[in-house]
Amino acid sequence: MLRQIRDNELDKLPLHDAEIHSLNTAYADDGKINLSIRIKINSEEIDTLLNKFEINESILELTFISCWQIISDIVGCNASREVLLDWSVLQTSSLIDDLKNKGFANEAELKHYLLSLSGGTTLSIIAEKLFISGINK
Amino acid sequence: MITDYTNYSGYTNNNLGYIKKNSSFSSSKENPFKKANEELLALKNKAFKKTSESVLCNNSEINQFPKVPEYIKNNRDLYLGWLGDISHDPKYSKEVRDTALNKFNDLAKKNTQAENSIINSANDWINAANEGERNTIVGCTTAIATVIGLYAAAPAIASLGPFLSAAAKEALSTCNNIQIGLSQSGQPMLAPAGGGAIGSGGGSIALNDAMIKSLVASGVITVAVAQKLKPAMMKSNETSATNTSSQNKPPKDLVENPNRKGSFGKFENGKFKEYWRFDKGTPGSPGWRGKDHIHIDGGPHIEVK
Repeated sequence: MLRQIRDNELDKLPLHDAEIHSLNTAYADDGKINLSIRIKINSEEIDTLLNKFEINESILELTFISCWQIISDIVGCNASREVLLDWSVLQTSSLIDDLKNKGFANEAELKHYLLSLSGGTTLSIIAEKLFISGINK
Repeated sequence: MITDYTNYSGYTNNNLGYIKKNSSFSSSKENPFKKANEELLALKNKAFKKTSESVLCNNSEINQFPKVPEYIKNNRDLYLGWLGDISHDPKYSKEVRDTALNKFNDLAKKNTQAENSIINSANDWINAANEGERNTIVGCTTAIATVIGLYAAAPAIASLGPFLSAAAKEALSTCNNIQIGLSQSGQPMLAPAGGGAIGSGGGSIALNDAMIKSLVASGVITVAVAQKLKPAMMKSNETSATNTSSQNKPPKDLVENPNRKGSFGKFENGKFKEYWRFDKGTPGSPGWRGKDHIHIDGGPHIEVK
């Protein structure tokens, strides 16, 4: 079941040290791009997920809906899976400012999500919404 | 579920591999492709049955509680994590999942009680020594009794030993290490023998400056513990807080990941293999994200105080 994550909920998600399993970018006919990141929640954080978000599954998909720009620096130099270290919504974003200055996304409410992984990978995602869903193994 | 489209008049979609019906035939009975479709359906059913049998075969194991893997038997965090995984894993039956959850809760509860007891005892001991302000644990009868009680409870604690949290292990280890330190310093050790008699010598035991420094230098106790034992001395001579604890620093043979500060490991086959990582906590965040902690060889979180 998809569940939208509001900005004030993002910090409460127990995503720390979640294993990154895959990134998938889907293009729609109308040009919309959705980015899905499949992760496995760290076993020491799973109770929070169950208690606060009522999600039973340990494998989740973070889906960023209507991405306007994705800047990725994905490091493939590690000998093991990277884990999610930090995630946030930036209060001010030069990327969003640039898009607006160029005339894009005049009516869209954009958010700049910043994700940092343990091996040095960073992802900047300008998207309209974030959804989360549990994946049955 | 395989649907039989062979008798479906006008069927044109061959996405599932069925042969298209020739539009000139209005009834399925006239369909010259019927036989071919029937054969195709039979093949698909056969494949489906095989797949089902395969699934059923696997499902026959879902009611059996899985055997504890060797590598997690002596690791409390891995064991709890393993139980947690099973309790959420839909591939197991509800009965198995519930059993895993019960085991998890039971162990977690027992651990919490034992751990709290150990941590409180150790803290009482340290606080009492600290409150004495005489660099001595002589006279801290409550504290001594606590340590003695701790040792008296050793068999029960030992039975939970492999499953104690890092904090409880550290507290227990601190008491043990101080005993070792006392022994190495030629001082009588604390012991529960004799119904409360203190140590083999039965005399006073004083942790003097030299002993505390010796314990710190040899890595027996951390500076943080020493500071609690004698704050003034450690403040003047030691500037770092807990960083002298060997665990809180990356081993010297590791190099820092060029792509990420705080991650230390080795280059193996051209890739970076992380063995030690420090994660700076974000104050106010829930869970481990909110605490400074380290990971050793991909293991569980270890709080850095």
